[in-house]
Amino acid sequence: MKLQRVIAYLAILTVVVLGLGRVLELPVFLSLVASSSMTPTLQALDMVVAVKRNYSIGDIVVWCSTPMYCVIHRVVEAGGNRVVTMGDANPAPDPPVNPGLVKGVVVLTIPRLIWIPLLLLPPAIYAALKIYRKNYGGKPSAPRSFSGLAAAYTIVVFYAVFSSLLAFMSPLNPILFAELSIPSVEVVGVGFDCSEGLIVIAYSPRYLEIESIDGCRLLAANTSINCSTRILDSSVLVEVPSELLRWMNLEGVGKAMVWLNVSLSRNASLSTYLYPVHIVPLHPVVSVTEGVASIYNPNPFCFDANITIFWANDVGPWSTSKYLTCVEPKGSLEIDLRAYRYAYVRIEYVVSGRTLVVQREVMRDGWPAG
Amino acid sequence: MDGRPARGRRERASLIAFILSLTCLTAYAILQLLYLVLPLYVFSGDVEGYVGVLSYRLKIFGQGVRSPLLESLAVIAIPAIISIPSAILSVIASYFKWRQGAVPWIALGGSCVATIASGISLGLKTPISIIASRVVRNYSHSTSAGHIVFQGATLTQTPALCMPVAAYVFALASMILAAAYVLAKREQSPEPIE
Repeated sequence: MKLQRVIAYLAILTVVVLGLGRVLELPVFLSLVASSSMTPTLQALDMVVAVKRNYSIGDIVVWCSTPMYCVIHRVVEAGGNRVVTMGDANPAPDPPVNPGLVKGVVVLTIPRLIWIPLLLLPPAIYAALKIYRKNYGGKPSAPRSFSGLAAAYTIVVFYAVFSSLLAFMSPLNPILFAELSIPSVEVVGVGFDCSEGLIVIAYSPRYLEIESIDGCRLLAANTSINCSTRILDSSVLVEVPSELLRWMNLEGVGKAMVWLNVSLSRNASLSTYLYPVHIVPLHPVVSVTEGVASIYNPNPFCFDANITIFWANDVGPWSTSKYLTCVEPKGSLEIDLRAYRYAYVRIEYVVSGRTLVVQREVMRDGWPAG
Repeated sequence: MDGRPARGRRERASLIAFILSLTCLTAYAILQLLYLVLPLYVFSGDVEGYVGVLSYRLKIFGQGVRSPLLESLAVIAIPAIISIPSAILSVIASYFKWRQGAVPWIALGGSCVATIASGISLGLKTPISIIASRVVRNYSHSTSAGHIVFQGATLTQTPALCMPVAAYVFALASMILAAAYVLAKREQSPEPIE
């Protein structure tokens, strides 16, 4: 009888010590699986036996950031000063941890259907038998009320031990969310489409959609104006007023800033930074075909050109006619010089604030006759 | 002076105390069960769902998420769960076998367990509240595009949050009343209680 009691006490002591082993830094300890992040390998409430030894990729380890905050996950990356673990049922790995936090490698799993009955049943049976013997066993030696006290004592002590062990052995997994994808929007690129006069802002939204543009401001030098926008898939097209472009070209302002207030799906909004945009106008195309000089403006704004024609019908003094004109956006200006015997056309224009000159010889002597 | 009427009054008072103890234990079991089962915090807005001790359902921006931390808290709550059948069994045993000597002691044990368990339940309130406040945190953030502002989420506490305090009071009252009954019985009859 005494031997049985010693064995029972030793068994209880072993379980208690192994349960506390993680905290006491013992080479072998018990730990309880607290969540289903390792399913199907480990189920919640399964008990694992872990030992301190070297580990490699694929091993299931127990790492603890605090004595109570522990994680039982599989090693997916090891080396250097970090270990990365991941739950078999988790879609993403855990944050890297210091190898010193790894308390042990899981070497044995005791399923919950085995250890819970094993832990609960013997003391319950023992307590029930004890109470029954005291009450109905006919032993007159002890007062019967004492058997009640023993029963109450057994219940409370057993419960307290069970609760404490559970608290020590079940590690609190500190990870709040296994996978949390917060909707977001990143900017892919900002550019100026000179042919259309549009600033194109390309976004890559994740779990969000651009619904509307509530505000748009364009800043160039010290000027700030409202702008109109269009949405094209996940891009925002900002229409730059042609007058602004014309002014920027003449003043040589090559950089603008754009700010947007975007309404997104899920009742979210995006207040953008000031996106810098380089605005570089295109050069006009000057050509001469059969006595007709043509100036094509590929820009979306009215292009100022100072045109000077030098002409002469005979040998002798050259006549000059000058005029300042504006070549329509995407339009051509044709100067018919076929009526002159000799002619040159000189076009002065401004691109990005710099004055450039193009001169073309339109006609040669002898053509057209008369 | 005949001590019988006074003794009868005392017996009646101790019996009432025992009945009250069992009533308190029953109330404890009901409150504890409701506390463990019912949602404690309900979310709306960007976060939808609820958080309870034993269960949770969270949809953040329309996507269901799993929380290992909440799952591990449910494991810590196991002693609180065990205390419910223990309290109910104590009440049932006391109701049917209250004249038997050991039963009032078992009821006392049950109320002691209930008191410990309600302490655990009370202790679980704090981490769950912290988790709930972390769940409804401001998800607005800055990216390369700018600052994204979300509508936010609202957190509503449910009446179940008050239950662990009430359960603790009932468990404590049950324990005191059961102890008073048991001690009174021992005082009244040094003979074995049958």
